[in-house]
Amino acid sequence: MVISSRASYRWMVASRCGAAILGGYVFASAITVFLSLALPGPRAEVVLFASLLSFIFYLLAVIWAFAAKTAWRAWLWLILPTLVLATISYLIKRAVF
Amino acid sequence: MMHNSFRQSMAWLHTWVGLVLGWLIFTIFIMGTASYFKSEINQWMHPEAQFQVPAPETAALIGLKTLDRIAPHAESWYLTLPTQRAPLTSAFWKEPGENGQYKSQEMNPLTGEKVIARDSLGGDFFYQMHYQLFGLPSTIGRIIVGIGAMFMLVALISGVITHKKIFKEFFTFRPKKGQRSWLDFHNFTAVVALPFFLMITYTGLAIFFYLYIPWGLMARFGSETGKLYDELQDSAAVVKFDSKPINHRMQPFELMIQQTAKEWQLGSPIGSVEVKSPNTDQAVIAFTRMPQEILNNRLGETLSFNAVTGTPLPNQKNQSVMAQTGGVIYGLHEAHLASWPLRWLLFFSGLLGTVMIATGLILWTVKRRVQNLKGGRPSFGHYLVERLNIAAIAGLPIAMAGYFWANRLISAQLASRSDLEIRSFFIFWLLSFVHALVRPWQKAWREQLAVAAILFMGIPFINMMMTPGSSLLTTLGEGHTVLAAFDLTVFGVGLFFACATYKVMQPKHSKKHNAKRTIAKTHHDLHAPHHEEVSKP
Repeated sequence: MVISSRASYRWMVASRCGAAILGGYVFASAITVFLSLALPGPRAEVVLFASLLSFIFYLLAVIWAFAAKTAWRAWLWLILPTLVLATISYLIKRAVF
Repeated sequence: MMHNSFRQSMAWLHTWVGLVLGWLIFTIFIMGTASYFKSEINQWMHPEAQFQVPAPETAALIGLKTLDRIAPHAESWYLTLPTQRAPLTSAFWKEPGENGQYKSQEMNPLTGEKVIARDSLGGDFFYQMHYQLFGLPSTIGRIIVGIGAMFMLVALISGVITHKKIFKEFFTFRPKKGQRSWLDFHNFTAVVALPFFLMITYTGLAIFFYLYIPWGLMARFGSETGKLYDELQDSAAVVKFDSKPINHRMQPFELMIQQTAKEWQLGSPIGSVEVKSPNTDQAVIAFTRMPQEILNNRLGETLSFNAVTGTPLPNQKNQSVMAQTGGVIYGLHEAHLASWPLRWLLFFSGLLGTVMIATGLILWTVKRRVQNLKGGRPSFGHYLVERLNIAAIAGLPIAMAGYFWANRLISAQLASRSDLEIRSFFIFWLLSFVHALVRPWQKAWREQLAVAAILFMGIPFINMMMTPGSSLLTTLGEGHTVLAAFDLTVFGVGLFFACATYKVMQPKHSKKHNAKRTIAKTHHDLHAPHHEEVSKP
């Protein structure tokens, strides 16, 4: 019993680390791509602006991954927005650029 | 949640994020802090390269004439003019052709002669270690440093959330209370320079965003990502030509230098000169003013000329908010142009950062020491953390001091001595790690802090013996501030380590051993028994 709860704790920590490091990175990347494509203005400036924000989003994602009620929720709310943003970005890219 | 409350979750995150890459972050911070004085370290490590600094107009003319002689058909020339911090002219140029290499030469600002000085990477070694480590391919090094910086950012923010009363606790210091004192000190250093830590960590990430998170850039620029900075800067010297350049005579440099100097009569002088396609019909020469502000690397006003006709060209610098922001990010992080008081302030902020990281790492072991020793021997993890702490916190300064010693002890004429200096650094570091592994924990601390103290305090003396021309006796008399300040600073660092050694040698303050301590004190017994299981004060 003790051993299995320790093991499940470790899996939970590992899962959250994955959500924070990988999930957070993909999420931050998706926002940056979306903003780079969607914001108006000269492309160099838009890209710089969006990329500078990416680190803040990454940071927030990491905090979220360890603050969420369960590891599953942490993953879910990183993956869902990432998918939505990726889809919109794809559509913009195809339509405009 | 990881724990019952958000704050507890953040405390957990802070602890582990801080520990996992703590030593890497410590290395980055200590090397970066030293890099604020990169030019001064360079100067000290090349004692042969001491020159009078001429007026920038003179240095620009001599530099340009020299480049015209040694690389007349280069694709471009670039000159950085001498200052008090770096009293020589450095030139680099790109050789013609698709795969034309970049070459560089440091020159005597008065004669244009190549500087002949001992081969040493100088302060650039610390600088390179700081942002791309050493010995690794630069891209991999930069990515590892970036991961460290991201961990640091997470550690900073989760730390602030954990200690929500952090600003109140700022005024709390409970000395000689073991764990509480370490915590108070950790909090104190964190609060004092929190804006600096956030700024330096964030700008460090931002500088290499195109490496760390290039996806926005790639989505918008496709295969031409290299154009980002051209578009942001619209460098004044970029004038587009369709045809191939044909050899052509340029106007005398004096003419354009005089015109620039006249234009900038007030304020700061010329800081650098760039020439595109020299000695061709497309030659453009651009003078960039040395800005007095530190905030924006791009503020440096540029004046460019068509070098064939000698007529000024319109300024094409991108002045938009984001382009300025890009400049500010570099300026804030690198502080190339910081005035002396500001440079020292940044240096001390960097030191506070290293102390904050060090106390954080020590706190981890102090908190767990009693608990981990219940079974008699510490766990392997605990043992390793303790030893790595020693090898980082005491070992890195030892390695840095060893690097300075090597600079004076290795013969100035020896070829590839630069490599030997760097090897000395890593050998000292490795010795420190091995020593920390094999010695009892407290003895390892004491001995290594003592070695750091001796090495640092010895630097002015080894300097005096090996290169009397740059010793304090000479530099103080001649008012050579930079070299004198170096010797005095490293001596001060040595004194700091001497104090730390003394502190570590003091009897313990644990409550359990109060009685013993009192006895030891009354007997003025310096050899009071040290108990390994007692936490450090």
